[in-house]
Amino acid sequence: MNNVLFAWIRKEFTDVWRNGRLIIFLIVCFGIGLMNPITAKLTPMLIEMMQDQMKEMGIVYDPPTITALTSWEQFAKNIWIPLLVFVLMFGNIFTKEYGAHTLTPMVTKGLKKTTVLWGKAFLLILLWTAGYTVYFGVTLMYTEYYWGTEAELMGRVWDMTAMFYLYSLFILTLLVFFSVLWREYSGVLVSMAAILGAEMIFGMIPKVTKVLPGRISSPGLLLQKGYEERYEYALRDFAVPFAVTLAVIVTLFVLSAILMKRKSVD
Amino acid sequence: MLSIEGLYKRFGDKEVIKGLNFHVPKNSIYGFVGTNGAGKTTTMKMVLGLLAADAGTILVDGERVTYGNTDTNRGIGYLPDVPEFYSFLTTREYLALCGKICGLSDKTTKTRSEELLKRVGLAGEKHRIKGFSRGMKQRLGIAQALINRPKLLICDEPTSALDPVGRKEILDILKEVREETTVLFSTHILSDVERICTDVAFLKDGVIALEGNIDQVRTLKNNGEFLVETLSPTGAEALCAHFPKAKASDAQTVTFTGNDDEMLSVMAFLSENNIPVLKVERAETSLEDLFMEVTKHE
Ligand SMILES: Nc1ncnc2c1ncn2[C@@H]1O[C@H](COP(=O)(O)OP(=O)(O)OP(=O)(O)O)[C@@H](O)[C@H]1O
Ligand SMILES: [Mg+2]
Repeated sequence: MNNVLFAWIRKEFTDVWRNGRLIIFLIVCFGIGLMNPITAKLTPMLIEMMQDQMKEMGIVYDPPTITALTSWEQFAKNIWIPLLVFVLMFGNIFTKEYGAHTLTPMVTKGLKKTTVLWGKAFLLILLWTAGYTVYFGVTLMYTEYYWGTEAELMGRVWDMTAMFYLYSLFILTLLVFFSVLWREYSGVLVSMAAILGAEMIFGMIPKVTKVLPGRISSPGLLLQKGYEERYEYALRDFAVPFAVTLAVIVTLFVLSAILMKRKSVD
Repeated sequence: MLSIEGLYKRFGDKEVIKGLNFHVPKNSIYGFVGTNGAGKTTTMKMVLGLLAADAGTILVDGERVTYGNTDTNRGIGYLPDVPEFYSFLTTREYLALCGKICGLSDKTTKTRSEELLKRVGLAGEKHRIKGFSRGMKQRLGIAQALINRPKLLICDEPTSALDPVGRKEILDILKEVREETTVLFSTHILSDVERICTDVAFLKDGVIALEGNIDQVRTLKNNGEFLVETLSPTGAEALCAHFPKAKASDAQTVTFTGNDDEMLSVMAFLSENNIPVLKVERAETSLEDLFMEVTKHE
């Protein structure tokens, strides 16, 4: 059985490797990760360049001090981009097989549909983790090189990175769940958008927003001034949505497995 | 090997299969014949558990098929009507994956793959499946279906995409594998059935209109017609005079309807009266005629 799962994952990996999507995705992650410190680095230069112009217009402007924090703020701001790129590049990993009927010879040989599910889910998580690591790693490397991050800030950076990682797993779980539920990629995307939209609407109710997964979708909060002093409190603040997200992930995977067994993959 | 009883299937308000019964004997080559849209693919998908039946039982080698459960599929090889494979793999990689799923050892898979690729004429194909023609996919389809030496091989119109040479090759392969497996294949090409099938079933209006051993089926509908062609018209005249039921087709040919006894008495009459004969022939109904008769609209 494990043998089959391994062979299945290998087949999935061969797909993304040979069609070049894996490399493209990693390059995109590298590029966006690099942009964070570079943007921070270039900001003073840009402001200086515009200084004369602004003086003419009568604007007096204090050039901001650029530190590692600026770079990490960029990191937090752009953290959605790799995830969005990932979903658009790899989100059809299930639905493309339904459309092409390529699973038919497999399941008629006795391949368990849950093996299809776990294999694909595993590959999604693996690829995303690789891309996310590249995104984080590149920002870290260059931020260290230019400024150096002091220990206290680094601690918060780790927390922030881990927090968004859990949120990204929530997004991947939605992707898997809707890929089991629907046959068409468009259905998957629309459903995911609907869930995120609903979350935004319910998020406007202050009591509710404290427990929703969306709470951990903006990890930049951990970098804010206010949180600096009451950091312990802040983490406690995130504990509930953290637990809720984890529970939702587990539940959705169990549901996916149950539905997958009944699904027509032909 | 495969036994279907009381099978029903409807799509919306369209009833496609209405109480289907048939039995595929072990080591037979079973031709499953029906017009376009008769429900052949639908039936096969139910046998494979790909489609849920509304009612009825399907037994594969005594084991009951349930929808969604792939256990009964272990002993089945399936060639879909339009087979699709992973285009990013080579044929050998694809067969290796199939072997893994079937639980074969790597070594077995390897030797079996080479053997099958040679058999279907793809041994020299080192490229990825991307870009294969329909016929090549059909050949690979046969190879993947046979990888685990299935007890039952189900082929959905295996020859319809192939050129005449390819068709003959595939039919020969199906004939060869009969030693080790039972073959159920759907088609509307009756010459294919005549060429290789041992058994045949005609699907019509959601039920089997005619089923059985191919020779049986032929004689079943054969109303015992035979004809005698004499050397000279006088012989034919004598026959017509002696047998009132005989019909003269032309000056030298007389057609009879009747069983073997009738035929023997005609032959006895011929020899007693020294009538020289060109030929005596049993009129065989072709499957084509049978099919037309079975599927014609009342
Ligand atoms: N998923 C489906 N939804 C609705 N109707 C369907 C579906 N699948 C098949 N049908 C209908 O069932 C009938 C039988 O289809 P099926 O594909 O089994 O025919 P077939 O005998 O294989 O025909 P062909 O020789 O053309 O392959 C057709 O009228 C078809 O329209
Ligand atoms: Mg069909």
